Amino acid sequence: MLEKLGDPLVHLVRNSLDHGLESPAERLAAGKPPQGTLELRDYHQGSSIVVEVADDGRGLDLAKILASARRRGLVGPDETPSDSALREMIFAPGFSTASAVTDVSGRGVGMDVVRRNIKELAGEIAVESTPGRGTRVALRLPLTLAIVDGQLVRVGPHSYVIPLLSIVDLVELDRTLVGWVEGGREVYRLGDELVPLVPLHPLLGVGADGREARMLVVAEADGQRVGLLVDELQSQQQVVVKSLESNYERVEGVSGATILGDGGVAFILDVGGLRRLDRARRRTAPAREQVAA
Amino acid sequence: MDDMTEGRNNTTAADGEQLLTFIVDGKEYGVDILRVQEIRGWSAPMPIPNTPAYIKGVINIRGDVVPIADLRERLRLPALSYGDTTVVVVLRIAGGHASAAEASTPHERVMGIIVDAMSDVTKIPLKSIKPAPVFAETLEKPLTRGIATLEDKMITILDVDRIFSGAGDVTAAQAA
Repeated sequence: MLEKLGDPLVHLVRNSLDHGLESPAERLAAGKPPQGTLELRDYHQGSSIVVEVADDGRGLDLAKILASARRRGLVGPDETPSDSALREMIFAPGFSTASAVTDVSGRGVGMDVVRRNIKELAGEIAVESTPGRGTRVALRLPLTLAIVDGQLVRVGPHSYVIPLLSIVDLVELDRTLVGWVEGGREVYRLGDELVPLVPLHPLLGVGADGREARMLVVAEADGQRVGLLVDELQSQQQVVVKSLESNYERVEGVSGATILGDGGVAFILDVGGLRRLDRARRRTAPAREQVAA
Repeated sequence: MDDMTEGRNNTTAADGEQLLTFIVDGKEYGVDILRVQEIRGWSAPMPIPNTPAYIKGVINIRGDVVPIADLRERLRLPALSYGDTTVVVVLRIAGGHASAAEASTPHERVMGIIVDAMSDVTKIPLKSIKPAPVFAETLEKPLTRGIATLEDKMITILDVDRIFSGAGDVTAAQAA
């Protein structure tokens, strides 16, 4: 991931230095400090990690972009695209407004390549710009590549991580709220809603039933809610995602692994995969492992 | 993949091959020492759900998540409880398919095998390595790459790339 991110970042920094930041004289004339500022920042936002390259330079010159786009035939002579459409133009292949090629940038191989690289990482790129105030480019990358906020749960003797993003609710199991449908399938009454119960023990191969399970993790995947039965809720923490595939192979129901504070390995569960495992298991072995038996 | 095969040929191309040997069920087995990353004591692995029984789980090796296999079970030998002399030989395995993003580049996986005890590091003259006889009834590709016939003993040389492959076959066989 880092090597895919490196080139785009270098490119964005060069763009800011060359196109964004003005000369000290221009800056003074505009009432800004002579020294320009270029900021690199990264932070979490929702399910993403955001890497920002921001400068306090002249901002995107939308008039120049429009002229250049007209010259290239990207915009018809009568069209007047919106500001956001113009900002979008800088991602067109070969687009450049630089009047001269310098050592630093201006060859027009640029933002389209940056965007392509970010897309390959399943990310998005956004540009904000205020004339005279600066430009901010934000690369938004899925957090699953790096760090996940997780709920640690105990199932049998082991700990597993359920991503907080897929968790809707955490409730203590009340056995009077368990109902049945055919095939030994159980549902849980959660307010007005009935959610299918999925004991994790058989799916994870730790013990045959979920009789001793006391906690319910209500999780959502593909728009469907399930109640995952676990023995115990442990801490909530951020975990660094490690690939299980790099040394082994893809395992259904597991999206990755992490190293816990004690040095042990815990698997990060994939709720969608667990639902598929549960369905497959019920097809092959009609189970009789009711919680409220 | 290519360079690893080459590495193996280099050792065999010289006057002999250096093996790390270990004991499983009283017999001596060997692997190409150039494929051995390290040797570790036993530590309980985290079981991986829905995998063949001989895959015992994953362990943390300096932040790397490494699967380990029980060589006894892989060789269909009776299981033995793990003890003080139980050793995990961590191997570098060719092939694999890390992720879609890395699919184009050759990949090397790190995996461990559980053996009863360590034995030795031995240099085997090339002329002493005999190909393993083919038993027609086995459909699976053999794990045995050859047999070193020495004056006082024989060592079964394992093809490390085969130890973790054919997992699907075994599961299918067990299910049948």
